[in-house]
Amino acid sequence: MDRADIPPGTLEMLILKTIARFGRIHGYAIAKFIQQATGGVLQVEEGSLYPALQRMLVKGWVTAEWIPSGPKRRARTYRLTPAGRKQLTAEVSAFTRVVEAITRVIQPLEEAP
Amino acid sequence: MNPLGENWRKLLLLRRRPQMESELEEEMRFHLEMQAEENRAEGLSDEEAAHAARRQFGNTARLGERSREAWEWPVLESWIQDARYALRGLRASPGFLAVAILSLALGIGVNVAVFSFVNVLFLRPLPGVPDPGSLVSVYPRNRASGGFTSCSYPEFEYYRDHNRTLSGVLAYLRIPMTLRAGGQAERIHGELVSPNYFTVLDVKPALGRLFTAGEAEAPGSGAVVVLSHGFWERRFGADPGVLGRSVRLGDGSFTIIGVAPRGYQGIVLDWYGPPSAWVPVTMYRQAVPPLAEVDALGSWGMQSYPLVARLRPGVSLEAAAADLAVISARLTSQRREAMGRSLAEYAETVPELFPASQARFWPGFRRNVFDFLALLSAVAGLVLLLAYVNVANLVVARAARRQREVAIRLSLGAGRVRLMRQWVTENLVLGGLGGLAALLVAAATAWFLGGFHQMFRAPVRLDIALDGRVLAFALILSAITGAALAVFPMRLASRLDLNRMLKSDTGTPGGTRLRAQNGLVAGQVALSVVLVVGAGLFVRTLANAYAADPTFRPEEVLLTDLDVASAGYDERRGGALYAQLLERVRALPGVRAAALVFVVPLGGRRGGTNVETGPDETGRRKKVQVGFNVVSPGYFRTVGIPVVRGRDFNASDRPGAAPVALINEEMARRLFPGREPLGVQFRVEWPPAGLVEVVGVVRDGRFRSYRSEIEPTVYLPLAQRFLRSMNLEVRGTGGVERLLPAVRRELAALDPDFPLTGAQTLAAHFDNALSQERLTASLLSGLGLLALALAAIGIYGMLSYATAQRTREIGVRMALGAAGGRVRRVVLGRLLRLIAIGLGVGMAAAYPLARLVRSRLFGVEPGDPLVYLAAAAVLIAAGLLAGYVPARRASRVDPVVALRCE
Repeated sequence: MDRADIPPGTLEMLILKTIARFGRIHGYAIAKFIQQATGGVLQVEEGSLYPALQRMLVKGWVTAEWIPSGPKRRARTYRLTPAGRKQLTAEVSAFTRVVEAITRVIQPLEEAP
Repeated sequence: MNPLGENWRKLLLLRRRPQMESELEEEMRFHLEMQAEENRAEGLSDEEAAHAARRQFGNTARLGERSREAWEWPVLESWIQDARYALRGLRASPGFLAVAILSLALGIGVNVAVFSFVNVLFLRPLPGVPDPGSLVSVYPRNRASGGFTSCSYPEFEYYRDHNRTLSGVLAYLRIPMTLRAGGQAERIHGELVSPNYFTVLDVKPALGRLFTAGEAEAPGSGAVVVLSHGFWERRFGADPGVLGRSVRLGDGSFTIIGVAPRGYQGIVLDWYGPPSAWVPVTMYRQAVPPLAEVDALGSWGMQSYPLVARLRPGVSLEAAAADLAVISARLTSQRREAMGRSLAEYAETVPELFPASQARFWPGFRRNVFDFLALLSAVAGLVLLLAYVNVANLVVARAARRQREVAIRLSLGAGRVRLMRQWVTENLVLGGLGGLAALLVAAATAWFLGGFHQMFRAPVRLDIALDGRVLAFALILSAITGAALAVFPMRLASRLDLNRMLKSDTGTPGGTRLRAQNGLVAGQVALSVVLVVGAGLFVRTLANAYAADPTFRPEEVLLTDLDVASAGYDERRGGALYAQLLERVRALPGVRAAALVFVVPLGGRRGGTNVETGPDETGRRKKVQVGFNVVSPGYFRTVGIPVVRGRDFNASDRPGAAPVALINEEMARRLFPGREPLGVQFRVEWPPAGLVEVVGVVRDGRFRSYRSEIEPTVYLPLAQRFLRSMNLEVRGTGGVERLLPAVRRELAALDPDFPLTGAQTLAAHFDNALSQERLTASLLSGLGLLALALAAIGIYGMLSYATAQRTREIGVRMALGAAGGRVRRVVLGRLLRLIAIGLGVGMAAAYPLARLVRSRLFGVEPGDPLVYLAAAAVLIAAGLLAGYVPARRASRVDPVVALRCE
């Protein structure tokens, strides 16, 4: 299967959704989950997760907390704030609207003989 | 979603950035390690596992950069970076920086100061009052004379009760009062106000209460006083216990009921100071004894109360004006009934309305204030232009010096846009620094200008505050100036020819720069000419104005007010006080003469009356308007105006004796041409009408101002025409201010409660009266000197640069036999041509400008050749002086050295 670049602007939505699903989760796990869940279709440069997380921190959508992970190592985990939850809902519904609209445009073409 | 919260968090993060960097790094390392472990679990070697993890992860440096952007304000921070770079660059040339900032500070500062006057006089809303926008000032215009007046109390009441557009109207009357508390008497500025005064203004008390409805309805009721916050602090040490205390105002006892809020300083700025106390007008007889004989509440003729009204919501000023005009027309019949037809016609008015914030001073002064502000603005604009030209000159030189650096940076791939942005930033930073320094200059200028009490020819007290509006003006002006400065280096940059620049060994294209500099120098000369010519015209005006004063050595005369009326004296006691005080003061050591006078000449006031002569040979009587003054014996000796015929008043001119008068030469010429005036009798209409006999003739002098015509004037003796408000003049030897304590002591010996105010020398009094002239003359002289200095610096810089550029050429010429003197002549000759161009342009501009201010000149024409010649001479001298050093340097070029440089 071909791999596709992730549509612009959706990365944040995917991250928010992933955090929402797990409640509290670190960056590496977010990356792995997105990869697995999309079956490797979406091409995400793993590192680009981190600038996005920083933006979300500054915007107040998520909070971060360090927890120990094995000896002498710790991981930064993220949680959604109420503002983040609202943002997720807004982005999902906006995204859905766009997808539905696009689908309506392209469906007749596929049905045409 | 919430940009405010976002910016706030970014601000909080500002100090934590190093920690965030390390945390981010740790987080990314964690990711890479986890990935590497997973890869190892899939059977890769350690090295391969780590490598694969990094490949999947992406460029950590770039990702770190992008993460950091989340914490920053990217656009803002890159501007800050530019500004920092600019600052570093500017600091590297401290000489340039100092001259540029000083020039800009002067140029911008003077403009900010002038704007702060405009702000106070016309823009700032009435302070200390809720909803000042709905307040309007009502100033009726007299139908007959066209001049502004105020309203009489009956008119006020009629407007108050019959309008349909106002939610309230108040009346007030600013008047000096004498306040006594704790055994100390003091003259204060008080206001007699309609009892609804504070209600209409909607002012809330800082302490106690304000006037209540029904408190002061009937005349003689409402013996209460509200103090201003400033007066309460100054006089009563902000003691809250003053409430309920009683003080004496004039003849009456008043209870202090409250203190106005700090921010409220009265409605108008006239009278040099804010009011200190407010008293219901119903108590005017007690509070202000001089008004005791007047029917201040019932007289239609006493048009002395300015009105302020609050518009009903939704009503425009025009609608209210129309409403009041209709009411005013209805007033006519009432006025006739009350005053009689002929007098009523004199009192007929049409109300004019102004927003209260724009009528902070007597509307009759508006014209003069506008004109003078326009003159100040024009001069300030000229100074800014001059400062701008000066700095532009420096900026061009600086840009030219850096052209090689720029060329190298361009050829190494720096973007032109980026480079230009840096230059614009540098100049904006320069403008900003100049603007900051300008605030200091503005404060100093405002303070300096504030020292000229009557600079608007109106007794306006200006409280110059740097409020938001003034700061915004300074900011905008700085930004515009900075941006305009960037034009020059930008033009140079856009014309850069990389090839030529890099090839040329001198590294600077002289042509562009020299042309720009020549233009700027000629411009500086032209601006200087305008200012120097202006200075010349106004200095001559001032000199002529001083020459118009006939007083002998006015700096040796001490002048004070002597107002027996407000001290509660009647004619008998007042007359006694006058006589005794004069006697005591004349006996003081160091006093050469002392006298009392009603109107001090050249103070802006005049006394007027009508006289009627007896029938001459043909039986005709002459009736003329004349100036009049009331003086005590010895007045003419005190001020040094000679009595040319007959005698001065003396002790024999007592109340019971034959009424006498002195006249001036002009009156003798006009009324009794070719006749002996001494012994002639004529009738004076006022004060108390009666026949007087001429006993002497005095030298002419002007009354109201140095510009007024010399008018026929009659002087009457104080002993026969008692007046309750006089001025004491004392001529002494040496510093007359030292006499003041002694005079005070003598007065206190006669009446310890008597307030003595307004002490100054007669010279200071004239200085005050000539504030506007002195201000204009000193401002233009100072700025003219500044302009000369700037032009000289510009010429020096330009010539030094030009000769340095042409060292080689000069060397060749000298090697070919040109003498040093000839080189010097050529260099100076070119400079003279430049100055000549500047002179021509400057004079062509100065003449029409001078014609614009013709009405302000006195005894000198706008085209006065002497002034223009002097200006040209001064500029040529300054130019040659500035040009001599570089010219001499050029003439001493050693051809061998110059050519060896190759």
